[in-house]
Amino acid sequence: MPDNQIMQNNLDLAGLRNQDHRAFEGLVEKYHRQMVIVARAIIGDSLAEEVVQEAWVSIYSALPAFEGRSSIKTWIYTIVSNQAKTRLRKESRLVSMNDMAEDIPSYLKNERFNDKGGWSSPPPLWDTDSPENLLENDQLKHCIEKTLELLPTVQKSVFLLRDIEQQPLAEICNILHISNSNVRVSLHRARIKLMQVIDKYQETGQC
Amino acid sequence: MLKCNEIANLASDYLDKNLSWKEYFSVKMHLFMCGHCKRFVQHLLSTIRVVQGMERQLATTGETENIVACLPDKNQT
Ligand SMILES: [Zn+2]
Repeated sequence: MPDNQIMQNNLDLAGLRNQDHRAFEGLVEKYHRQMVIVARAIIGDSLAEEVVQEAWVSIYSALPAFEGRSSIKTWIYTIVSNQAKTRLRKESRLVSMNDMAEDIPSYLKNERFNDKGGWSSPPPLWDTDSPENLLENDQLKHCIEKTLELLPTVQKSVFLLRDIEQQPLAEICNILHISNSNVRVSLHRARIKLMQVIDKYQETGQC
Repeated sequence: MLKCNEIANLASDYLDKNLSWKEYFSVKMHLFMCGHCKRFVQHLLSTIRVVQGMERQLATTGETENIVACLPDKNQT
């Protein structure tokens, strides 16, 4: 067996197939966060953790049969997204994947620009734009956290997968089953909304 | 020549290097000459870095232990 069949992304595939607990813990540690993000995108915040817990049990049971035709990541994402979709049908609670008509941040509307496309209301100066300095402000962080929580599901998922989990755009399209342009628009809107939190905080000292 | 409102729309694709070489270069030229747009892109990048800095671990060790504790017995094959 070639080496890449045994070790994939530093995971012990042979141990996993043998349902070794240590190897399985490694798998959970590596992918749990991303699994929760995927589940949230499909079924929403309240049920995501539960679906992921169940998905881990299914994954564990199915590991001896994992043939390695796809990468293990793709395989576990398929399992969690299928279970989330099944649960969604059961709950018969439709969580809209389409939030493209959602409020557009002002930077992406005409209101901040003049007829010629130049700034009429340019970005305000910040006291500091150094991330290190901004991170020292607990109140600002609280404002950002609140906004992040309230983002539409797809925007939040895309933002977390891209900017926190550092997944490539193509991978995000696959995970969330949305188009490349939808991913890019959602990501940009999420970032801009978060940036406007800092704008507002700099101007008013409040969220 | 790109306009400021176009830069505002392309800023994420610019930061992600998700533009054709020609578009990328056009944005770069605009930023070279336009202080407001330069600030806009800088603030957008700072915002991303700030949220990255805030990243909280969702999968704590405790959570992994819980998942492992709830596993069924090994498949009997
Ligand atoms: Zn400009």
